[in-house]
Amino acid sequence: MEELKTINTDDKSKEPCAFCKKIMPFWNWLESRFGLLTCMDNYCKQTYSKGWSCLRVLSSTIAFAVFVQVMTGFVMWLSYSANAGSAWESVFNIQNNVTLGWLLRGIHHFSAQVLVAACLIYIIKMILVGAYKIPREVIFWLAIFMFFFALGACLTGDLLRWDQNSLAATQVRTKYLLLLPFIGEPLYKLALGGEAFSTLTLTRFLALHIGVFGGGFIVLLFLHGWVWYRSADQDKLGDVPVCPCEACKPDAPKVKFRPGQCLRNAIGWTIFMAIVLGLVFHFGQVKPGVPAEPGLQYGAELGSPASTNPMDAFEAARPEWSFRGLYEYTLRLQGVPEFVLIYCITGTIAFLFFIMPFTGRVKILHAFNVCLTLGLLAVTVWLTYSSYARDAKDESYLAAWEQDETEALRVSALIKEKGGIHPNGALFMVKNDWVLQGPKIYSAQCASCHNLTDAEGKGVVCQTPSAPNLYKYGTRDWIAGWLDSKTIKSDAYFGKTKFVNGTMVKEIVKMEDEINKLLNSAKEDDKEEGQDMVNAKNLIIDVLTAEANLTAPRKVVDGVPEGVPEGFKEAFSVTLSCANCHQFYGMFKPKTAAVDLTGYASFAWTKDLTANVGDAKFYGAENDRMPCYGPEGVLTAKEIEMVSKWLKEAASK
Amino acid sequence: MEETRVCPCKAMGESRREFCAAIAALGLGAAAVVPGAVAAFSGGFDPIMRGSAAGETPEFNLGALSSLPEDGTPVKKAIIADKQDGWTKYSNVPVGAVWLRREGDKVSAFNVLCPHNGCFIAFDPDGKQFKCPCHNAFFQLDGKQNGSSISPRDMDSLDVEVRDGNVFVKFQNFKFGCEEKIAQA
Ligand code: FES
Repeated sequence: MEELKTINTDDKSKEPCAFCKKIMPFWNWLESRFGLLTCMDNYCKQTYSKGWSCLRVLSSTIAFAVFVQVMTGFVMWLSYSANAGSAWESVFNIQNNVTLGWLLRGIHHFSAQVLVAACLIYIIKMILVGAYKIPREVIFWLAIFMFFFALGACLTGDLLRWDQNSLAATQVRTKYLLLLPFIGEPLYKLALGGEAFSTLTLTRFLALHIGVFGGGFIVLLFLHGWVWYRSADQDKLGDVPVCPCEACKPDAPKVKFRPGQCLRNAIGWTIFMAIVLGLVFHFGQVKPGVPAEPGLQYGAELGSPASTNPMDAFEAARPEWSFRGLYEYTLRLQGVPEFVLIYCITGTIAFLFFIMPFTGRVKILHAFNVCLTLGLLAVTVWLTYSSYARDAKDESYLAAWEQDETEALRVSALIKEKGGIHPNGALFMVKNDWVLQGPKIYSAQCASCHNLTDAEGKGVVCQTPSAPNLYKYGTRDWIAGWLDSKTIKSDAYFGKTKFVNGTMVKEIVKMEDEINKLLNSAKEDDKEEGQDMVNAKNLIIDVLTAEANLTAPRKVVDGVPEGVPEGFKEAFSVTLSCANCHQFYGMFKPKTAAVDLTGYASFAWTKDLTANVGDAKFYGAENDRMPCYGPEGVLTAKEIEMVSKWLKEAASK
Repeated sequence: MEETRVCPCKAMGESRREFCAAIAALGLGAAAVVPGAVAAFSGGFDPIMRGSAAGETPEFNLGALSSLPEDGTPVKKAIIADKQDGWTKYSNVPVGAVWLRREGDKVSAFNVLCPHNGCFIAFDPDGKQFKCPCHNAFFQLDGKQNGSSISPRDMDSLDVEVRDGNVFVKFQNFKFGCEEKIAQA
């Protein structure tokens, strides 16, 4: 093997410096084993046309973006768990617990988006300046493949965070595979690792993301660099100009790769990173009401944990921005079979792009290629814009998003509160959280009969209310309504139930008549008696309101509950004859059974009533249509507890 | 100093002996690859080869008829069955869902999956219609398409029977994106 005496023998000024001379054995070793110096030398000796023109900055920026992807992606891989029960959890950990994890995720996510855009601009620019023609056809094809691989990496990477949105959106898009005849179904099953989304889908998507699309992109990039390096040699370029601009004319002044181009490349990288950081921070700022924690404010989106339960439908599934144009296009061309739209038309367009290096040699076809590219770009931008514009006005879409965002915030608050995620996963925490589940259970079960609406009709609206309105349930005003003859007969109380003709309503009417009679009587004694009754009624309302606010049952000492005012017993049993029917801490002996008022409307009482309204303690056999949720197996004990807790909490607001 | 290149075909060797050696090398190499390839192939294509158990369409008891509102307001009910998720087996979890509608004593059932592309169809109480949130396909309460929509067919109705006051539904999923209603294997 020939030993190198100096690096460049042909030029005296390039004599190696003293230091390099000293380590010459090392340089020689590098050269003999890898041929590195010759390669570097060749690279540095290459000359380029002056100016910013052409594609060099862009392609080096793409390479830089890939480097950033590999670096951040690998570190996230160290903490990621591809399992349906822990994928979201591990991403949550990266986003919120890992030091600067939100920045890591943010950079990885947004630089991927910028990378897709950069690949697209690279291809478009190649076509516009005519740099795609033979002998650069392979460079052009590789660029197109790189674009597709970048999209593939985005599609597969999107699912990995395993939140409601990414699951729902991926479920829709993978089903487009099924449109393919014969191979559609096998492909679908291969991608999913079975018939439905599961842990196996995550393991596969992770492997595809890193191994196929990520790794493939790097291979393509190296190939691209190699082929480009070879064809950059003017000899091999033939007489096809890189670009029609002045700077690219064969006799235009040339610059060397180093240092001019190096500097330009570095500026390109810096601009790239600035855009990425801008995105990382920009999307953080737009959410109002988010606690000031970087993990919640900045970086890539993380919605509420994905649920494959068909009852938890996510109603705002949309593709990522890069596919929005395609999405809108299928929406607008309804009626045309989707197979034609998705595969035939887009396939034809892709084919036209692939043959461009050949067609581009004919002048008029080059013009066609340019028009096709620009036209497609314009249409896509317009479609993308109109898709976003429509969603911005779609109330149910916005509501679904908001719901998901609220849920995500609540889960993270829960996790903070508990100091970590439950061993059964975040979804388990969601499912057992009264704040999140209460309103859902209420809407599904209670809201078909009960209104929960204020005087203006706002709240949880029931289409055909047929049971008491539960707005401000258990508050003083609400309880007082039961002891007023007008309200108790109204639709907000017993109006629409069979109890409107029952004993309670009759007794209340009777009581009120008597109070009015006594108060209007000429005799002082009667007036006093009337006033006593009014006082007794108010006392009972006070006592019941206190009951509703109890968090633990009262202690009963010698048959008397602690903390109940002195006069209550007389008011309840003598002044007003409530005790004829109602029980209170076992103090009385009611003749006929009605609802037991011990702990009335408190959380525990509400829970017991919801569980079994048919119990003798409550409406017993008199119950009017309300399901016995516990014994009938409609709701679990946990669900009953959650909806009761929520109802109490909603009332106090 | 262009070197004349060997024609790539000649790499197989010029003499008979060389040719035989080359063929033997190829054969042995291939044989050595086979076991690994077979294992990789069968493992990789496992999801396809795993045939799904076809059989009777299973029937599910979705609860008492009296629990459904009589005015025809649709109610979403879960189909509870066992589910295999990768290597994990879950018993009694929701594996699907249906929209149930009761008018008087008549009950109709629809799979919640949209025939277009399998999103979950929602009920829009204000418009009194079904709406698929993914590509805005609308359906009337009887499952018929409402106006022109991206969905290739009406909502997938399911067989319902009311026995002893309980609603039984024969639950199955259908293929997406095609005009005819074809049961999924
Ligand atoms: S999946 Fe329902 S409209 Fe597309």
